[in-house]
Amino acid sequence: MYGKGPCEERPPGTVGSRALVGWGAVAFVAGLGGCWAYARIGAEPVDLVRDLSVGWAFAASGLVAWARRPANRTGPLLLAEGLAWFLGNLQGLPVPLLFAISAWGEALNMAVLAHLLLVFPDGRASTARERRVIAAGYLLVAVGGLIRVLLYDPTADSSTSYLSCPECGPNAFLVLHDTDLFDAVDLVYRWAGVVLTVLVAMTMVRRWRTASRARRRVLLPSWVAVGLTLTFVGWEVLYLLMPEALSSADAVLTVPSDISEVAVPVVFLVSLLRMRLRRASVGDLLVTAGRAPTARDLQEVLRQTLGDSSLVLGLRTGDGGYADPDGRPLTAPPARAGSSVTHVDTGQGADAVLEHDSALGEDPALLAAAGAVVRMWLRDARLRAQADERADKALMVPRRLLQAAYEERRQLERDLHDGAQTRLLYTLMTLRRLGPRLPSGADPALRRTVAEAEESLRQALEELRDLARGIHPAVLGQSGLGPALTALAEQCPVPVTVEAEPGRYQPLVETTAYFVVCEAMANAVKHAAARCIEVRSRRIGTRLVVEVADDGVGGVDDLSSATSSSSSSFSSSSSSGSGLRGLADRVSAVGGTLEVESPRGKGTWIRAELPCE
Amino acid sequence: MRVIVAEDSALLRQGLVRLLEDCGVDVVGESGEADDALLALVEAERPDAVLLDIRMPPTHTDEGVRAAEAILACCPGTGVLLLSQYVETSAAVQVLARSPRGFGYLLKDRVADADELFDALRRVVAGESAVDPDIVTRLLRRRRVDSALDGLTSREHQVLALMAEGRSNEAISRRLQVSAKTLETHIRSVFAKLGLEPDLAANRRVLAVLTYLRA
Repeated sequence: MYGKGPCEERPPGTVGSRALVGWGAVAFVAGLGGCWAYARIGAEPVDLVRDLSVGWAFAASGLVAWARRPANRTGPLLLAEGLAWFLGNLQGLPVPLLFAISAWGEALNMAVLAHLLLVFPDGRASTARERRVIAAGYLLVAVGGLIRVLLYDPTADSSTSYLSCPECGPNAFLVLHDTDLFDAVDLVYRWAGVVLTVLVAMTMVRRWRTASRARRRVLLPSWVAVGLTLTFVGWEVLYLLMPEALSSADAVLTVPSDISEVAVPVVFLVSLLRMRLRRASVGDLLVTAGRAPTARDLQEVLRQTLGDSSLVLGLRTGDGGYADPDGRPLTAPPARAGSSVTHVDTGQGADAVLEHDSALGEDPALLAAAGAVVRMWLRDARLRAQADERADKALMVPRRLLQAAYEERRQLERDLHDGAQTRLLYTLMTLRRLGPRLPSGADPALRRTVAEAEESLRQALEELRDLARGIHPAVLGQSGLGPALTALAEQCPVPVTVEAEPGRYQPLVETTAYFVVCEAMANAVKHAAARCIEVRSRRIGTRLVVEVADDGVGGVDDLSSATSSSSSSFSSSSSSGSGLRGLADRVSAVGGTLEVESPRGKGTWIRAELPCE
Repeated sequence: MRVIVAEDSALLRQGLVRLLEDCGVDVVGESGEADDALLALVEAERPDAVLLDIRMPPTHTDEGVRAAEAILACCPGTGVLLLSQYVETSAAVQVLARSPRGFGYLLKDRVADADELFDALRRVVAGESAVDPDIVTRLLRRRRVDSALDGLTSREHQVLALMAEGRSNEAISRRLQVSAKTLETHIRSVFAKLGLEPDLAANRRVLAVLTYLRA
């Protein structure tokens, strides 16, 4: 049955609507028949209304409970209580056999009620003691009621029944006509009923004390019922002890007592409605569970919604077992008495289990809803994990590519520095040493050639140096972003103010930020005809924010329409938009964002935010 | 003059040693690293100056800068001349801010010129400062928004450049062929126009001027 919604195909063991309608008709007819018999002996309309209300209330709530909890005997018991309620009324009929049966079963409704109270809400007794008390109730009615009815003469003993009817009957079972003996038997019968009622109450107290919060909430209606029953019993006892003193108060007390009698099945109904409300709160559970980031949070949400503080959410572990949110393995079967396990199947085997108070099993639809929430949470968590993993991977690829590209640039610059630059420098040194050693009478053309070679070498060194710096600025690794930006500004033909917070970041972040500024400055100088540039770099929370603003012509091309072309120095930017497009790619590769505002004639403002943990 | 040469490129180190020996400098030690061994060598030899490459193993980033600071801190009588491939003033300013005496910063291109190298070495040995003229020229050439530099006369401009190179008053007045008194008038005027605190010793004056020019 688990895993199906309440609206889906009925599992075996459910009640068809035909059976419910049939039993409803039986209860209806029984009520009408009982009332007709009751009315025959002169019952007031108010009595009839009261009688019908109580009986039909039991029958109706029984039918509802039966329909909703087909596997639970509580529904049929409530219905039986409703039917038994009308049984005693048949004493108003002039049919001897029916009168006898009715008089015999007059107290049957009390036995059924005791049964109902003791098995609510599970529908079956859980201890031998409970079973004994229930059996005693039926036994008392069957045996005690029979003995009593064998001695019962309605014409003589009319005051011992709630139906005062000397004309009723005659009693088909009457075998011995002895008023004194009947009075004695009747008294014993009633006292036995009182004792049994007290036993029922004590058994219920025991059930209450061992119940969990979830179970107590379910038990509440039966407690209201037992409270009312005890009130009736108390009344009965007082009435037996001093009938004369109370007869005047009888009329006064009848009304509240009647109301409370009707209240009992109504309370059962209310209890059912509360179950519906619980289910409604599953809607809240869905909302809350959607926000529960961890299994422990979900467990807490489930505990609160289901009202079972002992509930444990078990998640499947690698070895096929289950563990609670703290990682403690769960035992199977459940270690705690009175708890059951519900499996949550996501289509890939049971991925989770709910270990909960057995009382929750009385509302399988509620558990089904909770299970559905767990199932959704599990799927959601799985999807989230997959999405995160994919997003990480998707981000990692361009990031690694960029890192590799930067690494290559760094290596290239290093190779130039250690190789060609050093060798050229050495050559320059050697050439410089040559000059002073030329004999004073040397050919002026020779001196000129040496000087030309020297000058050419200097230029080569300078060009090489610019090239190397464009490939990768050594100062960036050496001193960080601030000094690198300052060095960049120092070489810029346009005045640049640099406002850079000191601090080091990951090489990838520093390099990306550097190239953002580099490209923005190149744009400002080459395309925007800027007269001044402002550069700002600072850390805001976990992000490095670099901004470049110029007072140039603005109107940088739309980023999306341009093709990518990375640029690294003032000399290599091809067009204003394409360089920025390349920048946007680089920035997003490190998980950052790039904003460009460039209204025509109003300068350009570029802001990059790069994550820097 | 006793000098130690620390340069990771063997070729360049060899070139530097030859160049220095040509100038009559006594090279008392060579090192390819800017590590503790270099510091120990300096402490043992107590040379007049250390010629130090800014980019040294293992990371080729700021090892030279840190070694320069360590040497200036441990051996007050030893000057340090830092060599850099690129115009990059941050490192120079960083060292100058900590130890204004006996520190110089030269571009590598410059060392090819024996006279310039020897002149810079001589100055750091004397406890003065030496900043590569190329660096100063570049800093001065930068166009600035609302720059107070525009208000300087050409003579004051020259004075500022020579101060930025770390020259002493005597050297400046000799170079510009003006009297010490006239020079002081120029210097006061420059400082007033730039809004800087006057009457600084030449060493600290370099830092103030460089900081001003880089801003």
